[in-house]
Amino acid sequence: MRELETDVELTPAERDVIDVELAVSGDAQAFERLYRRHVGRIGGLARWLMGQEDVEDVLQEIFIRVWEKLHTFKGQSAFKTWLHRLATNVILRRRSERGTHEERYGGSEYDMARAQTGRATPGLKVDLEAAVGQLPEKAREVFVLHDMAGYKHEEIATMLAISPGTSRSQLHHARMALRQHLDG
Amino acid sequence: MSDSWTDRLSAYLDDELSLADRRAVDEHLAQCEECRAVLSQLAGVRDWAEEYEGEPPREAVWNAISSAVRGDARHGDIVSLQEVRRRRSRMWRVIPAALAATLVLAAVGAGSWTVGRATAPTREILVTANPMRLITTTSPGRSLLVAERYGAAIAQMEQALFANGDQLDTATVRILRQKLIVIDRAIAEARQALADDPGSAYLADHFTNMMRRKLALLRNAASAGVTSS
Amino acid sequence: MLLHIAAGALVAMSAPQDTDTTFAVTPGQRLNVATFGGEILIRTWELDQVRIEADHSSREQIVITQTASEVRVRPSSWNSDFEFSMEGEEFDVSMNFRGARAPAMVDYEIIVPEGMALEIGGLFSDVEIEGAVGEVTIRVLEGEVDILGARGPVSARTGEGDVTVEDVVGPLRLSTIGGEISVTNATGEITAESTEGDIDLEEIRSSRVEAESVDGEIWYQGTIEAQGFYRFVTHDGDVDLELPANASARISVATWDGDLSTDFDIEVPDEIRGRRFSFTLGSGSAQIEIEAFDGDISVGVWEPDEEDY
Repeated sequence: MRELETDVELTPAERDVIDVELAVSGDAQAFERLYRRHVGRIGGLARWLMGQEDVEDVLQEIFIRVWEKLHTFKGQSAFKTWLHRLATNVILRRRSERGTHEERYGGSEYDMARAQTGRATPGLKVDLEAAVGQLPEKAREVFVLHDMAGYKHEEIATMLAISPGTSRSQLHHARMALRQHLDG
Repeated sequence: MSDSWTDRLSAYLDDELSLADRRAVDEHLAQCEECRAVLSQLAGVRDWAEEYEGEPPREAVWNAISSAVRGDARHGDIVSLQEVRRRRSRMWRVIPAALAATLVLAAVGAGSWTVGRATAPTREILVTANPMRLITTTSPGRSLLVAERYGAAIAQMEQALFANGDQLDTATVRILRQKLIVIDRAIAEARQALADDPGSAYLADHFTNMMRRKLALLRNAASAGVTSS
Repeated sequence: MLLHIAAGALVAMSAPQDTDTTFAVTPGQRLNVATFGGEILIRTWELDQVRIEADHSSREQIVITQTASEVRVRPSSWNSDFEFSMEGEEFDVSMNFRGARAPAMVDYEIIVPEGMALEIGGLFSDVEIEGAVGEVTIRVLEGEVDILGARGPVSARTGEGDVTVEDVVGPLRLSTIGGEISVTNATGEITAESTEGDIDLEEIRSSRVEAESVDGEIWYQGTIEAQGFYRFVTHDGDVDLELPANASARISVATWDGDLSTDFDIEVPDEIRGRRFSFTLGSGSAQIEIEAFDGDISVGVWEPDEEDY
């Protein structure tokens, strides 16, 4: 799916603005462009918040919901922000429907092992993406909700039933742990 | 590492410290190279998260989304307009037999989700309303009918122009694509306004006018550039 | 050097780096110049002759053909059927262009008799015309067009490039896809159209003006003649009119997301969104239509200096 050609460089946010307007009025290709521009990131969000299982289903649910709700997006925030919130709502709802803590990660051995080994072998550098998956659960959730999805600590506190102070310290903990996996 | 200075660096980075605390950290950073390094790394992590793009999932996910929303009528405000269009499309859509069996591009003016095989019956139709003539109508409904004609003609032109791009010089095609963005956006806005206020004759005329402009643009593409040699 | 060219003769100028030739023309002949790229500058003089100076590569020649009705000027590479591709700094073009063998970058400086009609075409050409030429027709894909002083109908169309017209008498049909249109001191009917670009019409004396832009502002400063028709339409942009204080017209205004303001003494309703609103100035002789989907509309007073006339 090719992006629209333009004679000036458009930022992704500007492309979003154009494609949202077109998609709201029924332009199929504009909606597809929005999907392709954002699905990778939303997929990461989903995987880190609820594990590998059901990610495809959740992505489907998210984007169908985007299609249904797009006309309510008024453009006061960036589309990316709006999309992340919508996605997070869907993901967290799915998660709570899943029930217990063990089921939350789909019981996949891969993810369980990850969660348990927790910190990587000291000194072993993996890519950041893998490192996020290896964070302890709380730290990972807070990091993803704050730095990826753009929530504030007060909101995260409500969503995860922790205090804002805990949210702040978990974020710091996550960033400190992840920094050693930065390139360069 | 637990150090009272580094512990505050995330809050510092996120601008959550009180003014007094912030100043204190500023002063410390001025003398502490290690903390400066940590701050820079924390910023690196945060920026990575902000820019993270991930990998797309399997194409099957898109296919599922695409078929789930096709034909979906739950679009809130736009429903009525699309219903109107759907009812009329059978009468007014121009689909020559040759095109019926091929993929029909969803021209912006031709309505949503027409990607896929054209299923409208190939009744003979219309439509060579002279697009250069300015349409002023007395009823919004009639404007919509006229706009439908343009939509069909536009779809045909786009099909012809962009499918056989090498028949037009590419400089022309490039300018065309760039400016189509402008006019497509105008069409989308006009359509949305008309959906919000379907009784407005002005909005109906304006929408039709934008469609006419788009068609004129596509037609001019064929004759842009030099006079005949 | 004065060279008399017989009608129908094909003459190739074989000067290596440039061409400089002058020849007689008869009244009623039109000058027809086409080029792939380069500048075309045209001035006038009082002689019944045309002088053509051209700057071009040594492989190129300028071919001038005269018939009873026109003087046709083409680069010699114009006359064959080939595909070629070319990369420039700002463009990549692959063309299957009937009539050109290789890109002919030619810069022309041409002097024509006053009143001569001009037909000019270029793909990547800037065109500048100064002087009392007659009818002008210009088609350029990418390039700026400047016309100063023409006396006769002007029809100019660019794909990408501003169109600037000054001090002209005669109907104007100006069209650009991505460029601005600017007309100053013109008499005659005007049609101006842009897809992305402002339209400025200043010091206009006309009984029929139609200006339309999709994404661009429109400004009109001019007379309103009895029974005249004036139409200004944008999708995204303001429309500002400056009319004589004694203008007599029925004015219809429509906007979706914009305000109306006016110096004239009329009562503007609070809500004009999405509906046409009409008011009358004077005896309502002329007809003015203003539509700005997403833009403000203002109708102000123009006080022309005596000298403007």
